[in-house]
Amino acid sequence: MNTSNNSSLLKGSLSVIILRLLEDRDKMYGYEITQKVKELTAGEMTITEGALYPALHKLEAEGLLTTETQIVDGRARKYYSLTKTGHTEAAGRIADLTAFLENLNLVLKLKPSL
Amino acid sequence: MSLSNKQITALRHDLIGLASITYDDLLAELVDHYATLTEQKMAAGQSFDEASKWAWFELGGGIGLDHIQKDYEKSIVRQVRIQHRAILKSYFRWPTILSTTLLCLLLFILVPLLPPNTVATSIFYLALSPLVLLVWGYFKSVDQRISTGKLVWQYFQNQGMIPINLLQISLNLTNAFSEKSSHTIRNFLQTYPIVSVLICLLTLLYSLSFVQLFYKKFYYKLA
Repeated sequence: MNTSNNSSLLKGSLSVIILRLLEDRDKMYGYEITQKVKELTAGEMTITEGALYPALHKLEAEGLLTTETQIVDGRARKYYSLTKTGHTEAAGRIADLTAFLENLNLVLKLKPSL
Repeated sequence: MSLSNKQITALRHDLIGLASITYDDLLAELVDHYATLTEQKMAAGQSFDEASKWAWFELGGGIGLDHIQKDYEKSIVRQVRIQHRAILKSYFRWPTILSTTLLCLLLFILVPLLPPNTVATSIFYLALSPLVLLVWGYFKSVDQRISTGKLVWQYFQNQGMIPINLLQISLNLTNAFSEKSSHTIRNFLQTYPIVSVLICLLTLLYSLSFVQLFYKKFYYKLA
């Protein structure tokens, strides 16, 4: 996949990706999120740090994520997890994006004769 | 492969010196990311110098990190604003509304008993109260004026000026229309005590919200 196309398509859905990943796990840290996305998409999708951290900080400011820090290998590691509101919001946003993708798929599969 | 303390310090210096990361919370988060990326590359056989160069590039370099920092500043100010609004709204919600109502009743009994000059002077001093609280907070917690705390203090200073500015505007506006404006204002405040009570109540609650906000922490917790 072309990298610039990939990143522009990713922009709008990054928060949903983060919320979805955190729905499955208790807590995750920034690097872990980038690696999980890479792993799930077999390297087709990469999240840059410049996009990830602003998205995480925004979700935290919105009250959807909460953070805690643990000392790992002599350095502070910041873990993100969903708040109660975050769980509810995640379900809503995932449903919205799924519906949007289904509709988009219908449009993209439109035959020229139609 | 875990990095040594010396290597972690070198990465920290990169972030401070080359990307001017100034906020402790953000710095800690980026050091961890930078170190993890470096460790991953070292595990693939690269030297520390080589691995950290590639990791720096993947982090987005100076421009990318500057973008992250600017966004972080916005996010903290947003958090402070949200908390401040939540505190202000809480004064009109159960059960705090009981205290608000009692304060309102107290002012309603007290204000009409005061002479016109005293009412006007009291309102003037009340408008200054957020700034007085700022001075108190400033000396009370010198340690909070570092790093992320700077953004919180900046917000306090900007918002604390609002009652003073409103007072200035109202005084200047009335002065523009009448020469005896101060006399008219004093009479108005005494004739319509409900207006005086509302001004006093809102200013007091606004000042109180700063005290509550002052005790909120906008740092992340160590587990």
